[in-house]
Amino acid sequence: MIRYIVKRLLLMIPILVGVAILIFTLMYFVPGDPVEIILGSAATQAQVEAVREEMGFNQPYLIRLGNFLKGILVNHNFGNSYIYGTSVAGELASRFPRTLTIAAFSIILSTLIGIPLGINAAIHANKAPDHISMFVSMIGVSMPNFWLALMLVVLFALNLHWLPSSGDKGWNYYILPVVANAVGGIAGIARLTRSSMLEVIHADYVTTARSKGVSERSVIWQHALPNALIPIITMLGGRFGGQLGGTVVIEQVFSIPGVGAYLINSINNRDYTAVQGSVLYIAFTFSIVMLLVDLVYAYIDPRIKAQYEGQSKKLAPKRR
Amino acid sequence: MKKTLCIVLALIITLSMSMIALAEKTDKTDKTFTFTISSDVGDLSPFGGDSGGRHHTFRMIYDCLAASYGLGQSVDQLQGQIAKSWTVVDSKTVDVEIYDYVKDSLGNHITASDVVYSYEQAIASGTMEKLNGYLNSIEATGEYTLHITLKSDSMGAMEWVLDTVPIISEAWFSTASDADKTHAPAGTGPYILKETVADSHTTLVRNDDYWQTDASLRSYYDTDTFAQININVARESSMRTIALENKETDGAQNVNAAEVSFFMDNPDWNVRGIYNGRLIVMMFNNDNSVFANNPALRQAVLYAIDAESVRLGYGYMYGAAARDFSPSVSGDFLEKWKNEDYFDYDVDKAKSLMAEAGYPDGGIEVTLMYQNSTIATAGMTVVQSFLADIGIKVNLMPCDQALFNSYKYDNTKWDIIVDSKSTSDFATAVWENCFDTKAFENGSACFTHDEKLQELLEAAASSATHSDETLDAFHSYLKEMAYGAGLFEYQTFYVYQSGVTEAPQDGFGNITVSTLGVADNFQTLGR
Amino acid sequence: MNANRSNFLSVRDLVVEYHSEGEIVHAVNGVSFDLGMGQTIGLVGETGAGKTTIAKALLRILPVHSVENIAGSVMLAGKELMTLPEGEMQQLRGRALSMIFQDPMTALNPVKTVADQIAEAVKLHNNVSKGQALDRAKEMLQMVGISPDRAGEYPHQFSGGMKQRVVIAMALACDPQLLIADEPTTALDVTIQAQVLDMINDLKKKMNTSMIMITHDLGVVAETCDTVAVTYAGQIIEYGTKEDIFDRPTHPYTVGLFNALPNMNANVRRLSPIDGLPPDPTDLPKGCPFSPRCPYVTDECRRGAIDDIFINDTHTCRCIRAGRKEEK
Repeated sequence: MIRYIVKRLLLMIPILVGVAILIFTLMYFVPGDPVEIILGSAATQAQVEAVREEMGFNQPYLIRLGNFLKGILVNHNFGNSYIYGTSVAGELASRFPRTLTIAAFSIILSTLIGIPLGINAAIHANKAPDHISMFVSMIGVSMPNFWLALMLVVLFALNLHWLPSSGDKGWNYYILPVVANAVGGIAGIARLTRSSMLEVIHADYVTTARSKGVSERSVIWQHALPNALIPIITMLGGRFGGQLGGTVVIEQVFSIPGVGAYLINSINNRDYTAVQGSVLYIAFTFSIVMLLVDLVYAYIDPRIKAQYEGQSKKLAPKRR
Repeated sequence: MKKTLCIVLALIITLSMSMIALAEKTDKTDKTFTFTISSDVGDLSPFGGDSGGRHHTFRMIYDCLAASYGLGQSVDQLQGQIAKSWTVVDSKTVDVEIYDYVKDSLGNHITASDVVYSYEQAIASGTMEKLNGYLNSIEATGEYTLHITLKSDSMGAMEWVLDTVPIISEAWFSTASDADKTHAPAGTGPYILKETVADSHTTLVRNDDYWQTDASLRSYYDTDTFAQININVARESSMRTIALENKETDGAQNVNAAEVSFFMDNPDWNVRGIYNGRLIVMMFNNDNSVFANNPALRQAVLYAIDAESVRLGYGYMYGAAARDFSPSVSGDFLEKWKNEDYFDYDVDKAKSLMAEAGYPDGGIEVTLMYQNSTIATAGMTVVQSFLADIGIKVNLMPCDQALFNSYKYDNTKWDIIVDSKSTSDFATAVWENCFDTKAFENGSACFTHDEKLQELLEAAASSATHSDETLDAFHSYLKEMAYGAGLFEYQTFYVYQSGVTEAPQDGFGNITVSTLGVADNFQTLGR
Repeated sequence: MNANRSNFLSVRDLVVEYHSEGEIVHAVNGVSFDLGMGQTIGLVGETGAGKTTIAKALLRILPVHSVENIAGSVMLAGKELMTLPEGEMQQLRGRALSMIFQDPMTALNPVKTVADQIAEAVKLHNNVSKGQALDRAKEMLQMVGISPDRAGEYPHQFSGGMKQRVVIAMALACDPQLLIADEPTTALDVTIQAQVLDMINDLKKKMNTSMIMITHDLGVVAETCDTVAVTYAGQIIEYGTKEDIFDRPTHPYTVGLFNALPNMNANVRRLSPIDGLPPDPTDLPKGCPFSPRCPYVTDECRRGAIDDIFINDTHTCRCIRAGRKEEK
């Protein structure tokens, strides 16, 4: 198992290098640069050109790519943001906890609601509870989260005064963003849980469990669900990894300075260093999340664990 | 007996003196103010660029040599900050004397050499190119005196040089880390930056040890009514409106024109609509399009557009059509221009001009480039429909900011461009920004190659020859040639709680929190 | 059979109907049989005759949503099972009566160890600690011929035959009084078959368990059963002791089954299967269900349901010829 983890971590390195080169190249070819944004709209063309030359934006591709890679590999930093002047890595490090908070809690909330909804739908397939569950989750996914966020603010902040409308100054500031973000995920999880459970509920080993006298509740939660979890975990992992890259709309509406807001603004401003640093960070966290997902598979399903270990066992000598 | 009497008297005197001293100190209020802005404060290091949010904040942290109070002020109208006095030698030379007791928030003493250092650093940072265009040299002639010479005698150049450079201490700046410069700078202003979180909030606390102890000598930026100022960022305009309605903030900037009516006749709030020196302009591609060498065609387009309708298309309920290629709040804007025809909407005239231009039935197709936003697109579709009336088919090309910036100097990309221009002082600044051949590779911002235009521009812009006549000459010639024209200007709105009584506007169209006047019983709404 | 219901297991007039795709499936149509303690009854018939449904009906683990109707009475040691509340039934399942399933490859939960699955049954029905349950599980594994060292392994690490042994261990872990074995050796190859059958027989004798052996293999019946019930279209069309059925098969279907067995001694070119196919359970023929295929069919056969005819004390048959044959 350790071997497997180490192998996966080593595999991440070429992936990240590839991502770095790719994002640098993309930004290089995208027209526009941060200079005029830094100088302000009153700058003349001559002024803009002068600064452009000074900042090295007129150098050839390979030299700029070389500097960039050197910066990461040798100096271990992503450089300073052109627009904010602060270290990109430092900025990401301080924003990451906020994005993580929103992403983690909203995944937890989506799961806590979505999985039982899906199980309920599967147990009573094609009857009223199934239709109701699927209808409820369909509403959730149809609401644009931007609109839902504003509706929640109008209700809970403006009318009821229970919660603040925006900002990130305390734990209660995160309640509305997490809820607005979670609702959309519920539908996907519920539907996937439903279909996965339907397959599993009719399996023979579930009948076996019943014939042993296991209570229906235990049959569902302890026998059926663990077998149904694999596709659900894949989806949750993908979703979580994606959200760590920043829940842009939510951060924008609630003025939470997270990674998503940083990345979007940097792209609009052509803040090269910030964009490159952010994309690399996203690639990194996503890879880690995927590795964790694969490890969770191994924990749930011993056949998968055997597969991972089998790959390394090939190198072990045969016992006589 | 006498001895004890003396001792008692002495004690009483000392006590009352200290009471008075204490009273003076407690006269300083511990009011706080919470303000909501629409874009991040950006880089708060001394020379951190020119982003919109920074303008609200940096004047409270740093003092410059002087401060302008509104648009179009001349040198003698400026208020001194670090500069005690200045003498204009000629249109390109000024001598300055600074106070001898200036210190930054860490206690470093500021001398003339620190001022020279600040200016050098400002230019070296690359974020103050306009300064670089104006400043020729600056040297310390004494411990507290300076001699400044300029490259240009354009209107507003000298004021710009005195008014925009934050003064910091060389001892601090040369050794401070990047993080310190952006998050804990040692400024010379009345407030100290306590905390700033990008895209979230910025906190300023009053500098109780501010160097200018004589309140009567302070500029309007340097009043320290508040013990603490909290600035919150809310990018979504509806969130700013909600923060106001929900009484979470004492004031908000850039409140949407469509939503501001809620606050207007409401006793709980004061609304301040300001013309912030911005102007929406339209320019033609004057050397590589159907408009080149065809003034009649350009005029036809301008007469075919009703600028007020375009303004309403943008959603700016409050504003006015332009009367010149500059905003009407410019310091040197001529009154008479307000009463003259300036491409006032006239479809018949437009059609006859089209015939004159050689297109009696229209039949032209052009590309119109502008910076992408929902409101701009709405406005541009209005333009599209007006031009369709005279037979011109307009293809809209919205671009995001950075793309727009890289295409606007490329004469193969657009036929018509709509852009936002601004000035913090004079109309000539806008004209120079767009038409000064010396500053462009390809003639000007709209690719003109007209020597007469350049002559008239230089005559109007130089402070030596700046006069009503030279201004009008440029204005009339530009109108005749119609290389480009102003479309409209618009009000932006600040909304404050009812406890705010005064809100002065500076030249950049901003209202800085430290300048606000509040009622005696002002209570902050922020949490 | 006897009206006497003093036997250990007594099933009377069991009826099970499903709904499927808008139609009613008549899976079990009036089945009755008895079973004494320590006895084994074989339920014989082709696939689709309703044997597994009978088994699941006894345990009441039929899928709730598809079932249209269950009727009848099942008395186990004097207790009526059909009307028991679910909670009590759960207590009986695995303890008083348990089941061995047909396909060992899918009968075990892939994500739990074999010991855990056996121990689960133990812990449910006995007031023991987890450790004690695991010990009992290891005992059972040993009893079925699996080394207790393998207790912590997962089902995918065992072969088909071993998996079936685990299933058997699981079913017997709580000493059930009634064991239902649903074609336990069908999915296994012949050599393993013999081993498994021997093991079942040994355990049965050791614990004096009553057993219902469901199978389509007459050889298995001969090995293990005391009484035999031949099922066709959800009915028991012939019922008797092993000797009754094997020596004196009466119903044309039973006769056909035995004739279909390849005879090693005879020199024939073709086998003699029974003509035709079993009836569609959604559309059963009126009268005798075998009538479409029966070589002796008459009009009377098709008229109405056929009653049981007693051939002797132990042997019954649902064929009007049976009665007449005896008369002759």
